[in-house]
Amino acid sequence: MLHDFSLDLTDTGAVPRLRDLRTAVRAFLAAERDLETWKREPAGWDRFDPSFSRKIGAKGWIGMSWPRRYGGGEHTALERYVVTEELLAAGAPVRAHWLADRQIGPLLLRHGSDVQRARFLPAIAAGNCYICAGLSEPDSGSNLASIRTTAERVEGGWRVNGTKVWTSYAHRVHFMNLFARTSAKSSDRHAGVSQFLVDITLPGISIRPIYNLANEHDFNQVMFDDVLLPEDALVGEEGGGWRQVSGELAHERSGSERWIDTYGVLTSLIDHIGKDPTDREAERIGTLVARLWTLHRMSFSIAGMIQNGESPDVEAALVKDLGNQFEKDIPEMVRGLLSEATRAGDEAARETMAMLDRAIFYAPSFTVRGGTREILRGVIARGLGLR
Amino acid sequence: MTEAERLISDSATRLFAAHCDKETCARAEDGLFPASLWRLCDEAGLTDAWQDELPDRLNIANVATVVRIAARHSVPLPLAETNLARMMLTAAGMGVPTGPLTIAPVLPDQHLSLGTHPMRLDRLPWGRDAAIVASAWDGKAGRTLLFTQPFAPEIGWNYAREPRDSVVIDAAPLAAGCGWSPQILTLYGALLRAAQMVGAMETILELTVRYATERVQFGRPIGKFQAVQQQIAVLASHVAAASAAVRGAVDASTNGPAAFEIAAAKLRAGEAAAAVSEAAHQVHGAIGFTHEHVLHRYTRRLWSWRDEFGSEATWAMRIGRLVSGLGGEGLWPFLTDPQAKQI
Repeated sequence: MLHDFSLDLTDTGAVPRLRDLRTAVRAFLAAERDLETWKREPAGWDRFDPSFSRKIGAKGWIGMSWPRRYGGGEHTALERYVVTEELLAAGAPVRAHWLADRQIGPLLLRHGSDVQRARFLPAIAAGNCYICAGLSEPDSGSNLASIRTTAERVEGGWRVNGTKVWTSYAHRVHFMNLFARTSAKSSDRHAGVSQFLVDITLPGISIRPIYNLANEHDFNQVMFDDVLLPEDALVGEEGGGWRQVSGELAHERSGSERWIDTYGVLTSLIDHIGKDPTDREAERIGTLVARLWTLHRMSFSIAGMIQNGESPDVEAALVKDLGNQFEKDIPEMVRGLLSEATRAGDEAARETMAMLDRAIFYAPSFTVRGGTREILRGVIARGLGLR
Repeated sequence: MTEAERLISDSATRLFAAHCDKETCARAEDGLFPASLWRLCDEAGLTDAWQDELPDRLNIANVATVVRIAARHSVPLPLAETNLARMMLTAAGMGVPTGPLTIAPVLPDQHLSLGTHPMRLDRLPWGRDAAIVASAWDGKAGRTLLFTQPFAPEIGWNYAREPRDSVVIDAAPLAAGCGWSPQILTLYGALLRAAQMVGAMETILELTVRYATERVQFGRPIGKFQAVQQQIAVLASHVAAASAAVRGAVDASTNGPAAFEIAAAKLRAGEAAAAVSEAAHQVHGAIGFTHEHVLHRYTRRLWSWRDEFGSEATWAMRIGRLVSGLGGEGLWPFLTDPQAKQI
């Protein structure tokens, strides 16, 4: 049976702390908005802005749960959850440090060496070090175990050959978290894969942009041609890559980033419609808000389970599946309330259309990236004992 | 789940597993009130789940647990109604009579006023079997009224063949006191129906997983086919969403009904009910469509309960109106601040 998503914080003393953190993030964002360093835009939080990341780092909001000696703040998982949720809901540009904060920090804390931790974590926490993921390949998408990029042991390190695709912001980050095969395929399809942190500027690496259907460039194809990595690029155990990456799945799939992408469409619609909605407008807005609140509750309660040392992988898969669908529901339901004539309307109307345009272009990606809908539902079915 | 909720959940589960069989449910659908099951519930304290350790507090979390567990067993009794009625009488400082009670009004747009005469009450749960505890407006205040069990009600049913009767009251109440407004009653009613829906959906999920594991076609259990697995995964995610929403609404309602959270929970549970009953029937195939199979005991309840105490549309419009007044950037602080949502 699944968890019941309860999270009673009444007696823990956490509630006022979490509320204060939300207030602090809102005050920071409002002040920065007044300084015109950012505003809500159609791309929402998915904007790569190093100077903004450094400001967030200076506030102590990157690596929040990491040890202080590595630049962290030793906050709880729930405190981190609240801060990131506030930044994402506001549509603040946090993409630059996003993956390093969410994935690389926890990876290094669990499996990295002391040297690696000291080298990377303080830089990440300061908002200065950005990292992309190197997982998918031209012939390896959902079936990650089939990757063919190799890292071969050589004198003093590793030699990498292969190609990665869909690597978001490879052209702007400093390092790639590379998944590569370190021994030949065996009967255990998950064995023989290792993780590396690769300096993206090394000789032999070439990056080619892939433009998406909106004709925008965030992801890339990255080719490795006899790239030599130093010995200490390996993270964790040789051949332990699969196990290391699976341990973080609950964390990766349950956050607010799985349901918040098109939230700006909803907020701009509310501004556009004003205080006196028709029945039809009120019904659609109310429906979306109820789904949103439910997802917020689910993610928050999973953050609580993670804090309590549980691994709610199935619950996380289920939140991602529902959340990605919700990101698609917003533009579909909102466009039914608007028309082509809205494009000729006032500023609030035009803003809503700009939000909607972006959401419609990006919607196909929501149920594909970071685990397709079909893979997630397979995980849920396994959790239910069906496979 | 609190320790108290776990205890009450365990004892209710044991009681229903032992005493609420198919025969009891079938006879109730024929119109026979399951009096001995009622007595067992009453003796086990399941009709007094609202009593808190603190004398001046009403424990809605325990009531939600009882009705959710009862719904897992399709218990044909007014447990939600009796608990609510007793809460209402107690809040008004009135005495609590023995025996099953029902509540009025149950339609969100029907506002009773003191002095309405005669008073017509429709879709009254178990109207033929229970005394009535009604909430009426007395100017801007709420007044609680206790009426005797009605004589010769107009018999009606919901899809699950639970009694939903109509009565016309032209006698004075047995007792009256200052208490909940009809608005508060509607909110609590919606919260408990949503909790009941979660219970029914939990059983539906269990039945569906079991059936998919046992039913063999093309040489293997149908649950081995990805097309079937994907449908059951969707079913499970809707059950989880409804459960999370109801949990959130219960947690928010410890000091009185939290209007926004209850509206959202009833709406989300109603949405889940559609997806869950659709997938469960599809996976069960023809056998799930028969009267002999148990599945319909749960799906018919979902189809009824999602309409009672306000359908998805009712609550969606209320939420939509409420948040429209906040402006786009006001929505998020409202959603995340538990203090802001008392309406």
